Amino acid sequence: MSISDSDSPLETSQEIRQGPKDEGSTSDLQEQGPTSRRARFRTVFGFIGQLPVGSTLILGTLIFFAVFAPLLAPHDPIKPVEGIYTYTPAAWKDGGSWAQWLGTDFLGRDVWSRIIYGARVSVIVGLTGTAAAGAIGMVMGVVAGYFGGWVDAFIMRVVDAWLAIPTLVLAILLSMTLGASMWNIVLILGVVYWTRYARILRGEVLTLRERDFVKLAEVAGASRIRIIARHIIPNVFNTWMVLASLTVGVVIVAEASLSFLGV
Amino acid sequence: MRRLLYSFITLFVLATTIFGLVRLTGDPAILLTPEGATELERIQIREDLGLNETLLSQFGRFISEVATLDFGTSFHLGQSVTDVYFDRLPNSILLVTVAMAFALALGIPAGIISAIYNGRWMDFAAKSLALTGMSIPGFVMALTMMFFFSVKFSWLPTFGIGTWKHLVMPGIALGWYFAASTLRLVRSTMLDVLSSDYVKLARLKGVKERRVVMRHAFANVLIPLISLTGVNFVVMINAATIVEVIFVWPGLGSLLLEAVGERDFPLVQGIVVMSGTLIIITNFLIDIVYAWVDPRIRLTR
Repeated sequence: MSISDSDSPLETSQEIRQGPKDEGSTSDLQEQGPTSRRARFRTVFGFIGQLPVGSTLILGTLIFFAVFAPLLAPHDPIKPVEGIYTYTPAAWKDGGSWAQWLGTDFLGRDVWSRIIYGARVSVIVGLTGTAAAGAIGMVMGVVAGYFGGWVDAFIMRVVDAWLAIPTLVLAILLSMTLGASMWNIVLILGVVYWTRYARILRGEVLTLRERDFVKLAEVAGASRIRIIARHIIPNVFNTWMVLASLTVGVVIVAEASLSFLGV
Repeated sequence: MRRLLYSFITLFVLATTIFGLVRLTGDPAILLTPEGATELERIQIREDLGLNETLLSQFGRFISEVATLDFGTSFHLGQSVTDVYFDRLPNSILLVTVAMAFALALGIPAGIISAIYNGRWMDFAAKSLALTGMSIPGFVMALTMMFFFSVKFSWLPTFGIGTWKHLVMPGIALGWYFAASTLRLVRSTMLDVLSSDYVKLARLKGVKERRVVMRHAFANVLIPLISLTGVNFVVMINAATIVEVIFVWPGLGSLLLEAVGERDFPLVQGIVVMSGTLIIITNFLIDIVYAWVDPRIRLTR
C-alpha cells in the first residue's frame, strides 16, 4: 500500500508535469513553426536584401571562381597549353583563337585559367594573411593595453620601430630568410601588418580597463585571462572586424606587389 | 623629455631588429665572390667585412656606429653609407613632395565637394575618383600610364630623372593612393562641422556660403589633415619602393631594395636607421605645426 501510494503520486505528478509540457511544445511547434520559419527566412532573405548589390556581385563572382577554380579553369595554370609554347594574342585580335580566349602568356600558359587560379590565391592570402595579422595584433594590443607598465611600453616601442621599416622591404627580408612559399607569405604578411591592430586595440583596451564591469570582475576575483577572454576581447571584437575588413585589400595588394618584385 | 627617451628606445629597438633581420637572410660573401671562388677567398672576404667577429662584437660596433651616425662602408658599392644615403635623399624627397602635392590637390577639393553635395552624383563621382587610386596597385597604375602616355602618345619619358616630365607619372602613381585617405578624412570632418551650431549661426547671420565653407568649416579640417599628411609623408617614402623600381627613380626605396638583394648589411642598416630618425623628427615637426595652426593648443601649453 505504502509503496503503491508513494508510487502513484510520483507517476501522476510526472504525468502532470509532462502533460502540459508536451502539449505546450507541440502547440509551440504548430503555432510558431511556420511563423518562426518564415521569420528565419525573412531574416536570411532580409540580410541578403540589405547587401549592396554591386559589391556583393563582385565579391561573389571572385569567391565563386576562387572556390571552383579547378572546375572552371579550362587549362592548367602552370603548364603550357598542349601544342602552344609561345605567346598568342586574345581571341578578338589577329591570330587569336576562342580555345584560349584571353590568349596565352610568353610560356604558352592560358591567361584565363591563370586569372581564375589567381583569384584563388588572392582570396586565400587575403583572408589568411589578414587573420594572421589580426591574431598577432589582437594578442599584442590586448596584452599591451591590459597589463600596461613596461610590457605596454615595450610593445608600443616595437610597433613604432615596425612603422619605420618599409613594409615591402621587411617582407622581402623575411621571405629571404624563410623562403617564399604561399604559406610563408601569409605568415610574413601577418608579421608585417599586425602593428595597426595592436595600436588601435591597445587604445580601446585602455579605456575598457577602467570601465565598471571590468573593475567588478576584478573585485569578484576573476583571473586576468578570464577577464581578457570574457570581458575585453568581446568588446574590442567590433573594432577588430572593421580593421580586418580594411586590411584584406591592403594585404592582397601587398601580395601582388611582392610577386611583382619577384618574391 | 619623456618623448625624447621613448624616441631613443624606439630607435634602439629598430636598430636591433634590422641588425638581426639582415643577418638572418644569409651570407653576403657568396654574392660578392664570383661563381667558382674558393672557400679561402670567401673567408678572406668575410674577414675584410668584419663578419667573422662574434655577433655581439658586431652588434657593439653597429650601435657605436649608430650613435655617431656613421654606418661604415657599403659592401657592394664601396662607398660610405652616409654619402650614398644623402646622395639619394633629395631625389626621394622630391618625388614624395610631388606625389603629396598631387594627393592633396586631388583629395582636398574632392573631399570638400563630396561633403557639400553629400549623397548626390558629385559626391559619388569624387569618391569613385579617389577610390580608384586606392584599389589599383601602384605598379598596375604605373604600367598602364606608361603604356598610354609614353608608348601610345609619347608625351612623357618612361623612366629616369631630370625634367619635370619625369616626375608626372611617378607622382601620380604614388600620390593617387593617398588622395583617397585624404578625401575620406576631409569629407567626414567637413560633414561633422557643416552640421554644427556655429556653421548654422554663420549662415543665419548671412555669411556667404563660400566663406562659411572655407573659413568656418575647412579651418577645422586642418588639424586632422596635418596629422594625416605627416603620417602619410613617412609612409610614402616607404611605399615609394615599387614606383621607384618601375620608373628607375634613383630614390631611397630602390636603393634599399637593391641593398637587400645584395645582402649589403651596412647599407640596409644605415638606410633603415636613418629613415627611422627622419620619421621621429617628422613627428616632432608635426607637433610644432599643430601649435602654429591651432591657437587652442598653443594656449593650453
